[in-house]
Amino acid sequence: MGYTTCPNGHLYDPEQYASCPHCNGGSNMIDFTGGGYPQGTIAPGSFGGDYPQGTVAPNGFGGGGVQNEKIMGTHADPSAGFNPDEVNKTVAPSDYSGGPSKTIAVFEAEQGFVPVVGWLVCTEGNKEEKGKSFNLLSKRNKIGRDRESDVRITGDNAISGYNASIAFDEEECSFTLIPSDTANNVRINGKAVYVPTTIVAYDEIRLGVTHLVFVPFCSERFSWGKKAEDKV
Amino acid sequence: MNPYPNSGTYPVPGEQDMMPTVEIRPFTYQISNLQGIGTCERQEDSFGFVNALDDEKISRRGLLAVLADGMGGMSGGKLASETTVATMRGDFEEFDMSGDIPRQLCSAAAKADDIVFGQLAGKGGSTLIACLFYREKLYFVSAGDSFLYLMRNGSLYRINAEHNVLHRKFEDRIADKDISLRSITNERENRAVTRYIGCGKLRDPDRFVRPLPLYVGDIVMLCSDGVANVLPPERIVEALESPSVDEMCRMMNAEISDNPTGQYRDNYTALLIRCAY
Ligand SMILES: [Zn+2]
Repeated sequence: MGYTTCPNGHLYDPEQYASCPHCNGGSNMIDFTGGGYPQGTIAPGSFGGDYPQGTVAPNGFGGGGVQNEKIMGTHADPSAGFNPDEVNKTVAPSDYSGGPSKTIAVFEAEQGFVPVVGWLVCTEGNKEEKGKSFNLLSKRNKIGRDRESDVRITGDNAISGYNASIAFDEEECSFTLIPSDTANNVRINGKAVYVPTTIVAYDEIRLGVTHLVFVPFCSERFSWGKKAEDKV
Repeated sequence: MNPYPNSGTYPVPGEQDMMPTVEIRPFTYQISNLQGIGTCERQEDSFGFVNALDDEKISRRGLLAVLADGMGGMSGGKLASETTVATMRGDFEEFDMSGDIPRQLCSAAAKADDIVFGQLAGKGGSTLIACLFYREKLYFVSAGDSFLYLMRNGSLYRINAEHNVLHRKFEDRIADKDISLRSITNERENRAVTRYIGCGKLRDPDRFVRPLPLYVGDIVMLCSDGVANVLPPERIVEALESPSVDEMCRMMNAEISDNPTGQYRDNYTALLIRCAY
């Protein structure tokens, strides 16, 4: 029996399907239950060789979609900042470790207004970082060695990929340092911290051999709150 | 006129010591495709062959297999994956088969990237795997986290690189000479795709710079993560040991469908190509 291809290059058996079952997102699916296969179809054909071949065209599983968004990727540019917090809002309900979840994606255009709320200034550390400042944005800022870090410290091997984060709370205008569970120690003004801890102006955060002094921009004297709404 | 322009000799795999040679005959490709919607409302995977049923055209211009897994809300994902497949298929018809094939595959992918970016402005996109079987050799181009497998002599090989955050973290660590990987945590963000069709600045997709010679019995499988994240490699091997490509698809389909009901299941698509005489 003969297989055929539709104009879109799908293989199917015309004896089983009046038209290509793969076209139009399977909207013309046929409920084929023969053969004892759960999502049936299939019929061997031959192709000049000794082996049968052909096509399988299940489209079976009816809706009941839990989560249909194919959540996707990030920026194609590896040097661009990737904001994992944004991903977490839209990710499919399954672990990385193996669940059949959708791929993830974040689109730059959807991220909206995320202003600077403060800075970290590197006062001690390797020569690439010393003297540099890092913006803290109105969100959770990841600090670490990973390329995805918001505050990326390179060249300090005692710093983990994701070592800590600094969260800004717009309502209370407060800054909280959150050590990551698995990471190397974080110190505030010399004392090791293991739980989320509020930080204030000129606190010194130490990760590895890197010292970062915290300087707030948002404070009693300035808040983006009203400004941001004005713009929107 | 030589009806078998690709005739020649080459060593049999696994017997390099003796270096016997065999006459190459053009392959007959046994092809099958498998697709399911999972528990989703929409099918966002797209695929297509070119020249699938035309041996004469395969010998002149090769066989093209394309898989695209769309991403993005509403109809964006489907649009992106369909456009990707259509662009690759259309561009392939214009290929100069005596020219630089890897480069032409890459520029077709770049063209698809441009078009999809124009449609969705970066808010949606698609993964891509395109395989060209030409003169008993395999060429491919890939972006994203879909899977390209080769089954040879009972072993399964993943051929393409996975473009996601996890992969990038590994690269960073290795560049830092830190191979302990201790601080790479198991986070969902790791799955985020870092290169895709529709980002508008696709560069450096994964590909073969030189084609891979194929042997009789080789099975090439292109599949979306809806297949590869559900079926571990050993189950795929089991399925690919079936006597026919139909049976392989049937087994994989049954296994994917066997997942406990109620559990979220992604769209899944697989294209199988077996090299035979
Ligand atoms: Zn079709």
